[in-house]
Amino acid sequence: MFSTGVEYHLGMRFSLLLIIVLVLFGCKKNRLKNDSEYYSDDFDKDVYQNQAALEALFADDTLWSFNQLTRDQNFFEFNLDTVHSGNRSIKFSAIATEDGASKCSIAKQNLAFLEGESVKITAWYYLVGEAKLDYLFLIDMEERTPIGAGPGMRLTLVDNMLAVERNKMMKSTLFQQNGIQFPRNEWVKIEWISELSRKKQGSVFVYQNDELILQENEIQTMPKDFLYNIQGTGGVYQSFEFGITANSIDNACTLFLDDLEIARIK
Amino acid sequence: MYKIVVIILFIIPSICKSQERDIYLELAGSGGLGSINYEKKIGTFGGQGTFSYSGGFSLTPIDKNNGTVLIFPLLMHTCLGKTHKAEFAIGQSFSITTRGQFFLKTPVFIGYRYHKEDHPFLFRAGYSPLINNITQFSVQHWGGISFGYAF
Repeated sequence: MFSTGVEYHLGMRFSLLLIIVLVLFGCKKNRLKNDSEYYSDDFDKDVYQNQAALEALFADDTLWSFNQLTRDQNFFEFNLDTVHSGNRSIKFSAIATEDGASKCSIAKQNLAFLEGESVKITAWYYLVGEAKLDYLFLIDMEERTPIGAGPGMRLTLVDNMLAVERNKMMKSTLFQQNGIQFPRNEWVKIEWISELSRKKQGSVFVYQNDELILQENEIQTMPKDFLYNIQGTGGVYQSFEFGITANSIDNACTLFLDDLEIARIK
Repeated sequence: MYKIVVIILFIIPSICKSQERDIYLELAGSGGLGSINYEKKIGTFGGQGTFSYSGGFSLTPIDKNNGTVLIFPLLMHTCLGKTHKAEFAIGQSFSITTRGQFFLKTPVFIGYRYHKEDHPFLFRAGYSPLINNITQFSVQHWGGISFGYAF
């Protein structure tokens, strides 16, 4: 096949190079043993009682991981007046988005919900006022990728109705068909259940005060690599963000959060 | 990173042989949305077979927080045929964002190349999946066409 001994030698070295490249870069990453499948917080934990400062939220690895405040005017604080249960909730306040997202949120990392599993998020939200707040984002479910914008699904408000936005994973937003409005100035129970899939084998169920308001089946619910825009997805949701994860461009927003839970149910 | 340095500095130069070069613009393909590439022939086999390597450059904006990703696809190519050639290529694409995030992908090319001997025009088209084999094996199906100049 090869015309000369030199060319045969080149061919062998070329093959060797291909093998080296594949072996060097062919490793895989699996679920980490310390990753958790459950987290809950009613903001009445003992660790919060002894510290008025919000640093208590991030006191150790078993609690919250970080917060996002992208404007000087944005803030969050423990609240003792408007609570769903117990003695405390968290109040979030953010100005309207303008020239970059206005965020005011807390996030929990080191969780792991894998493709093929189902995750259930339960949280109580109290949205203050009647102002228009299109594309106010309330809960983010994210995969941490080496390159990409924390791709995943986000629970948002459009025309004052809950919807599931998937823009960061290059997919369309899931809107409810029933036109059920999100109640204002009262506690609202949100349940978001999703069967996780990077193919069109996932599902989404959103309940508002125990009423099913959004259901989609046979859809993609996890990000997958997209050219060079999203790189390094592994089929694991690791980070969950609550509060005003991005405010609307319409108006400033104030809301309360209490009694949340993230759990694997399958 | 040392693995990449070893490959670039020691292995690729050690199999260089001839001087034939190509420059081509690839639409879609191994660089994502498009890339400019330089290719150099480094050996022959069986009369009508050639080995070559290529290096390219591309960029894609992501968003405000992530900036722009700079992409450097490096591939080894083998072509079989005289004017109408079958081509197979594989390599690594190195990506780094303007915010310092880094990742690797494995681009593959299986396709057709047209290049008539002693003529400068070059055309190639084919299936060019992008493989992630680091975090979890996955394949992004993709394709590309190239127009270039051989010298």
